[in-house]
Amino acid sequence: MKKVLIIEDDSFIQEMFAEKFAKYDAITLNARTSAKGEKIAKEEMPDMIILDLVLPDGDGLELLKRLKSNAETKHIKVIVITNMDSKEKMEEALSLGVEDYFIKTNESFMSVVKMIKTYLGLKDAK
Amino acid sequence: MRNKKQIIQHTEVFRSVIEKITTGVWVADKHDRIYFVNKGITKIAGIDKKSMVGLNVLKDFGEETLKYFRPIYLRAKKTLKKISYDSIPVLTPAGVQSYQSGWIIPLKKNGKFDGILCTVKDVTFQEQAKEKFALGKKELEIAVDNSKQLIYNYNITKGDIKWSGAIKEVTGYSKKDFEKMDIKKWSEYIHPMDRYNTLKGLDAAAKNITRYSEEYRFKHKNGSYVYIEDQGIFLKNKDGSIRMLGTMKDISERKRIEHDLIQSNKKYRELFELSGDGMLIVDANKHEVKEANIAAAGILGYTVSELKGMSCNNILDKNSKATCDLMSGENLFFQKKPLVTMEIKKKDGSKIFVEANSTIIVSEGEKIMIVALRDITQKKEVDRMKTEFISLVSHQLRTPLSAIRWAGEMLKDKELGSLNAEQLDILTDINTLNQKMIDLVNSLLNLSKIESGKITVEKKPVDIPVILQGIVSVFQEKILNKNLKIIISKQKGIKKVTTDPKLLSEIYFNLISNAIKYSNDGGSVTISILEKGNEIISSIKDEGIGIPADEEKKIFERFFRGVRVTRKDTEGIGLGLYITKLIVEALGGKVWLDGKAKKGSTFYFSIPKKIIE
Repeated sequence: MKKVLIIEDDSFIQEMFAEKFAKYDAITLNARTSAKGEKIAKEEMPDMIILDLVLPDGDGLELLKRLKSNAETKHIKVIVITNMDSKEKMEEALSLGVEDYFIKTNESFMSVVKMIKTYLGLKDAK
Repeated sequence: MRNKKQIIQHTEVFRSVIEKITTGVWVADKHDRIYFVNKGITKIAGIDKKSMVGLNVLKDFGEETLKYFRPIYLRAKKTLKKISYDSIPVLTPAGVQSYQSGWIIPLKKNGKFDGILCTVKDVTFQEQAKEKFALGKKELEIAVDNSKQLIYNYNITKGDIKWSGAIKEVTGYSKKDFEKMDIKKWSEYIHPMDRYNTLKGLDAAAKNITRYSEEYRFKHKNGSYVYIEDQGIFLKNKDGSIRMLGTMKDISERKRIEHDLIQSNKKYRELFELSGDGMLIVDANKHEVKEANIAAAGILGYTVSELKGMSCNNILDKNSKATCDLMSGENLFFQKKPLVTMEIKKKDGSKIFVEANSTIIVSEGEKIMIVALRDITQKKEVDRMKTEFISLVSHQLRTPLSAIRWAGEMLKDKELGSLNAEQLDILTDINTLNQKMIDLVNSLLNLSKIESGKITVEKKPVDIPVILQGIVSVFQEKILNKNLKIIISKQKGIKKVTTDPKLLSEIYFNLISNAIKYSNDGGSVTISILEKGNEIISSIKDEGIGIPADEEKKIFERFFRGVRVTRKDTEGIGLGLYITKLIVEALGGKVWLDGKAKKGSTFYFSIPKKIIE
C-alpha cells in the first residue's frame, strides 16, 4: 500500500485526492500546515508528498528545503501542486529535486492524478 | 687774439654743456690717465671727481669691466676711429652693479694719438628690464612678433610714449595715428567702465615701482571695443626719472571663450542646483563629497554645507561602499551601465534605497565622480506591493477557480453518477464560464508580470514555421467549425532567429486567435513571414469584420474594445493587443495595424533576427 501525504490547506482539494486515491488502494494522509506536514512526513515516511506552496504557516518551499536536506526524508518524492505561478519559485522547487510542478488552474484534475499514479506506480484496484 | 678768445669762449661753452648733461664724460691723456671728468660721471659711477682723476684706464678699472673695455679702447687708440661700446658691466666703488654704454673717441694732435674722450651712459635699467622679463632681446622680439603685441616705452617723468609693435593689429590705427597718443588720449580710448580701475592700477604700480597688469576694453578704430591685456614694468632711472615698458595685447578671443565658459558654467551650475535629482560631486580617490545640491541634501537628510567635505563612508553601508568603490574605479560595467540601486543611511540613521547614476571624469589630474541620486524607497515599496498583488491574484483568486474546475471535471466524468441532459448542459456552462474566468485571471497576471518588468526574455534559436504550425493546430477545431482557410507563406531563405520562443508564440497566438475569432465563416487567414534587413516582419491578415479608422490608434491601449468587437463577442476585456504590444516591445520589435486594408484587418509585427539585451 502506497502512502501519499497531501499538504494542502484547501479541504475540498484534499477530499478530491483522498477519494480518488482510495480507488487505487493508496492511503492519503492530510496536513493543512507545513508544521503538521513535516511532523507527519517524519513519522509516517510516505511514498509521496503532494505539496502546495502557499500554506497558512508559511512558504511551502521552506518546508521542501528542510525535507530535502534531511537524510531521513530526502528520498520522499514530492510533487508541487499550487497556484503560485512564479518562475523563480518553480525553478527553485525543481532545483531542490521535486518530481513535477503543476499550476492547478492550468491542469485538469485527471491529468494530475494520472501523473501521480505514474510516479507511484499505482494501478487501478477496482 | 680774437681767434684765441673765441676758442677760449668755445671751450667754456663746451665745458659748461658737458658739465650739465647727464651723460658722463671723462678724458684721458695719451698715457691713458684720466685728467678730466664731468658731473654726470660722478653720478653714474657714484664717486667724486677727485677719486677719478689720475686713474689709469687700462689698469684701474675693475677686472670684469676691463675684460670688455680694454680691447675696444686699444682698438680706438690704434685705429684712431671712434668706437661705441654697449652694456659693459661696471662694479662701482659703492659696490653697485651697473651697465654702461657710450662712445670711445680718440683725440688727435698733429694726426697722432693724444688721448681719449669717453662718454658714459648708464643703461642699467634697460639691462634690468631685460633680466626681469627673462628674455633675451631676440627672444623678446620673436615673442612680441608672434603674439601680436603693441609695445610702449613710456617715460613718465617726461610724459612721452613711444609706441611700436603690432599697433594696427591690436587697435586698428596706424603707427602714424599713434604718434601723438599720450597717456591722456590713451585713457580716453578705454571703456568708461574700465577707465577708473585701469588708471588707478597704473597709478598704484607707478608709486610702488612694481609690475603692472590690467585688463580693459579699448576702443578699436572700427568703433568696437577690444579686450586688452596690458602688462608693464616700472623702472627707476639713475637720475630719478621713471620709465615704464610694456605691452598691450588683444585678448578678445580669450575673453569671449572665458565669457562663454562662465555662461555655460552658470548654466550647469543652475542645472546642478535646481535639479530634482540629488547631485553629488565626489572626489573619486578620497571618496569625499566636494559639492552637493539641495535635492541631495533633502534625500540624505543633511544640509548642503554638512555634506561638503563629508566622507562617503558616512552615508554608505558595507555593501553600498563596495558598490561605490566599484563605481569610482575604472570598472567597465559601470561605464556601460552606470545605474545602480543601493541602500544608504540618512543623517537620522534611517535607511533608504537610492538609484545612483554615476560618471567619472578626470579634470586637471583630479578624478571626480558625478553622482545623480534618486530616492526610490517609495518605488521599491510600490514594487513590493505589486509583487504581493501578483501573488494574491495568482494564488488567492485561482485557488477557488481551480477547485471549481476540478469539481466540474469530476461531475462531467460521471465520477459521482450520471447527469441528465439538462444537468449536463448547466454543468457545461459552469465549466465554460469558469474557464473564461481562469483565462481572465491568467491575462491579468500576465499583464502584472509584464508591467512590473518581470518579463524575462530567454534567447534561443527559434524556427518560426514550427511555432506557427503548433499554434494553428490549437485552433484546429475552430478552423473546421468556421470552415476557414489558413495560409502560411514564408519568404525563402529565412533561417532560425534568436529570440524568446515562448514570448514569440504568445504574440502569434494572440494575433492568430483574433484573426480566427473575427473572421466570417468560409474566410481565409494569411500569415506571411518576410525578412527585411536585420528584422523579421510577420503579417496576419484576415477578411473579417475589420477595424474602423477612428479605432486604429486605440486598439493597442489597455482595456480598449472596438465597437464591432463588443457587438460580436461580449466576453473579452481588451487586454490581448495591449499585452501583445508589450511583448513585441520586450523582444525589441514593433507591432502595427495596416490602416489601408479594404477588407478585414492586417496586423504586422517586427522582431530583430537576433535579439540584443
